[in-house]
Amino acid sequence: MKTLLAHLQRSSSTEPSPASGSPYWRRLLPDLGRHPGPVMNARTLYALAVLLLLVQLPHLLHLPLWVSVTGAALIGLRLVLLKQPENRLIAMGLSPLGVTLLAILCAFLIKADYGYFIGRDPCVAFLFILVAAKYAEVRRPSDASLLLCLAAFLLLTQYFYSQTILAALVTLPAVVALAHSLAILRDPGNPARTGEQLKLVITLLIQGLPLAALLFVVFPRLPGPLWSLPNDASASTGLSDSMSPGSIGSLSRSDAVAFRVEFDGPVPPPRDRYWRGPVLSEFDGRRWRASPRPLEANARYQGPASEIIDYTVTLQPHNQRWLFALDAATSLPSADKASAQTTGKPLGRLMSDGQLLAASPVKQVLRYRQSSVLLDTLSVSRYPNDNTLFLPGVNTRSYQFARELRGRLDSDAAYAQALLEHFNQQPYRYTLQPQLLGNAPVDEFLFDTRAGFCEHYSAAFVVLMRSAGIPARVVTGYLGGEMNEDYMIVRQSDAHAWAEAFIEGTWRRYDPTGAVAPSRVEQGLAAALPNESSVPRLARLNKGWLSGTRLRWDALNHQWQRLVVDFNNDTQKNLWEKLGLAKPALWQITAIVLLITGLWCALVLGLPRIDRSKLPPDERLWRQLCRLLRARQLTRQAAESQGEFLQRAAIAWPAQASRLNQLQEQFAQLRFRALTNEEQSQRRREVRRLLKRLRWSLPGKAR
Amino acid sequence: MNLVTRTVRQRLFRVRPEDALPHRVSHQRVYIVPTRRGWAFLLALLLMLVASVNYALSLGYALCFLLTGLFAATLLHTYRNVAGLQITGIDAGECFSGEALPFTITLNNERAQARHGLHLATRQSRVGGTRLEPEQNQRVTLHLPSTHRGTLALGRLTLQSDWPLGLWTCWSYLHVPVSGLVYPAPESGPPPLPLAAGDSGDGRPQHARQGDVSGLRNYQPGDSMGSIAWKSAARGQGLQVRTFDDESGQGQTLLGLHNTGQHELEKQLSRLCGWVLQAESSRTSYALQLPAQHVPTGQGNEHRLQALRALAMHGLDQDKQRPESGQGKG
Repeated sequence: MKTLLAHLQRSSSTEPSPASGSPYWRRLLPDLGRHPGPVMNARTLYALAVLLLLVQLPHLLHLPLWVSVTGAALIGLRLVLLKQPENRLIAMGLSPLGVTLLAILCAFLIKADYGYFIGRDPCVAFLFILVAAKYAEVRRPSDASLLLCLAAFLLLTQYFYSQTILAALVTLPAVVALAHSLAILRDPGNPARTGEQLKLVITLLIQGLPLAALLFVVFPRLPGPLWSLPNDASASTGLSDSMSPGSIGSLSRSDAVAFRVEFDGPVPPPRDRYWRGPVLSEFDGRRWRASPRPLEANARYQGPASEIIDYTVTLQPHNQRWLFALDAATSLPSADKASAQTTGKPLGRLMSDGQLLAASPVKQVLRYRQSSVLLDTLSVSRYPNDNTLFLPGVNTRSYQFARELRGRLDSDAAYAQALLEHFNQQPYRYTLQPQLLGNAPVDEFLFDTRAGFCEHYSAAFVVLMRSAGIPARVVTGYLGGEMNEDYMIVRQSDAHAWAEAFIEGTWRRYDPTGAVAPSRVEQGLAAALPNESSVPRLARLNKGWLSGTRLRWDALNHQWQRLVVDFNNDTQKNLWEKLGLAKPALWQITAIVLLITGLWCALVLGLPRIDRSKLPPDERLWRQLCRLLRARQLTRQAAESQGEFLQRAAIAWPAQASRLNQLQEQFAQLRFRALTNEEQSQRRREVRRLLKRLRWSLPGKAR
Repeated sequence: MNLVTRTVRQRLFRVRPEDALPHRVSHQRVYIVPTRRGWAFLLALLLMLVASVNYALSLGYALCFLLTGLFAATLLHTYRNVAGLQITGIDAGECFSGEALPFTITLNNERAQARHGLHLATRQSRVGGTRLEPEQNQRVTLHLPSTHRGTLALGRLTLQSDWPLGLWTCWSYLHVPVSGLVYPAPESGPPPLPLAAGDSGDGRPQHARQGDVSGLRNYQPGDSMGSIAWKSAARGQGLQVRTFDDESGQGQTLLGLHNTGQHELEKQLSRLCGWVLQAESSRTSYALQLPAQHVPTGQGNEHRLQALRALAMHGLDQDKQRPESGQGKG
């Protein structure tokens, strides 16, 4: 034996083997995956094409048309090349060089189209092109890994734009197609039917679901982004430091959450929920801007303490410095008690115009304590500066109208009241879809179109006040908020603009929108605009919840938004608390994950029915019998016939001899006699019955 | 190399042929790692996760984890596809040097599900894509390229599969001491067979008589004196030669290294091998005389194999000159 071994070793060491040039460790490992496969066959290409089309589909909604067309065309051309492999022109165009040149060209075009390249949207567009280009270029199944990875990433990027139920549903077939492509690429020559392979990958996906759900719930969520691309910073959401006609109207079309509020005491009524944001006092005739150098003020309040409302705001990141507070803030925003940073340092400053400013743009979810009083006046120590009186000379008709009206009235307050009555009594219309306004927007709005949104009314009011020599400014913010269980959600659709005029030494709030559409103030946007479809779904009235599919769909969407899309740090914390783990340590989470993963492994390994073979029914019954007997230590020998085996079984269990003989007879009949279908199924039933009896009457499984 | 390293290497890589058949691939002997595509997929998952974290995309997390679940489920299925497989026998074949030496490996799938995409590989050869039906045996033939005569060990066998999605590869090693026999490469177009001329140099009778006299034929020039039937010649029936059972009537041949006219051993063997084939195709009886072994005169398939095996093992380890085919069996 020793000499043989020596010989074997010698002979194997002297053989020039293909791997002899590779390092030692390489020779120890198996030679895996180093076999360049054949060229792409039609089946692989079609499977990948289906995958890519499914991945591209949701992107067609937001991409420029030419990008969509280019992406789809590249896939189409590749399929044409498959049909006509001798087409030199297409082959040249889809060569690695041609495709690279095309991708570079597209990169420049995207830069030209979007105006910048390093940013979320142009990068998605480029990725879209890149995936299609890679598909056009790929020649071997082994080169397709990159393509699949890019496709998976492109699939994810659609969520930048939409995270609705529909978006999730569109993803599912794409995920199945991705897994199917993997299965086909593993062995492109495999003759297995597509249906079979789809069944396999769907089974795999379903088996992976529990683990996916576990990870989704358990994976720690970060409160803010890791980084932001340079151009993402400008893509701030919510209110900004300027207002032009239409800007708040477009904001109102968004369902997005601006902030959430938990009140310590009673919740103020809807008409008092004026959340003060940027105060705009600079006007250039069309656009309103915030004062560039606001003064700091003290948060002092001398009134009764019972008026003070305390609450906690959870502000969604909006990349701006505004913090929001109800009406008049009586404190500086301070860190929430629950959060780690309890330095006592205020998170922001109060400005003399009543707005709160954070030290830096809010890029993460910010939680702060705040207290306010509900006052529609704001007293200040000094007279407002001239900016609040400045009017560019474009809106001349308004100026004349204001001078004339003011001349007829004896006080500023009466004048303001008269203006509100004017809005109320003249045929002004409140709409989200006003006509476009020209160079003198306030004039046109006041006297021609007479239809507008809150920004039009507040701007017009302020212009009319200033025309009469009364300092006035526009205040933007949110009006309203929807109670959800024990907290209030304020959405972008609640964005609002109102006016403040300096009368008798205090800034008084006037909401001209309320004069036109009182329901906007009392009940929210949807009540004021019952027939406009551009009102976001979640801003609409909640009455008649379950009437109609549309509202049910809306409710479903709402739940989806709450449970899935808004699943964040806070929700996760609440979930842990409900599970009795207030602040789970990392090891606890790990232990839970490991435990459930172990259970999952056992479950999947124990469910081996992924590929139930298509044995003939008689054979299956026979194997059932064999298993039954094998469990009792009687195994059929290789050379034994069915009859002999059952004879042996009858000897082993004499009490069951008659049943075993019957079984033998039935099996023989099934196997050797030409029977009609009915006879066959009857005999099979009989066999099943006998098997069942046998299972019960045979002694238990021997250990 | 000290003992510990040897043991570890044996455990990990099965460098020595110490496994016995039938062999069942146990979970301890199964290795599983992501393939290159698997690593790429993981990297993509990681990037997707980072993007989801950064943009707080809940559905991004969901998609990422759905694919992670798929990846993990694939791990289990890849593992289960290989673990529990049985190798019940390996039959080694024989071939001429330069040809492919076939090893027929019998795989047995005990479980009620099919096994897919099984690859069998040694360092030199690979056969792939085998599908094993449930509760069935299947024979797979591996062809090892042979370069010179002698025994050729199968070497370490790798059973591998990346079913179902090609994201994980799972393999197990099996090193069974089994080897096939490689005959010398037959010389193509060898010179004519050295028919029994009296040129034997070692003085042995070239026509060692083993069989019984089966008949007489007419004398031809070149027939040995000893085979002439002198009695019948004395009866005036002319010169006749006795024929024997083991003789095909066209003469018999003694093949030996010395009458090849070659000097190098391998060339001598190669020519002898060519002659053996030539003799068989022309149905000529022949004997093979090698320094350490004598194959008596004969003809037919069994005889041919005997001669070829003798040639294959000439000068090599004489203790094991005829490894049983399928010795690993049982």
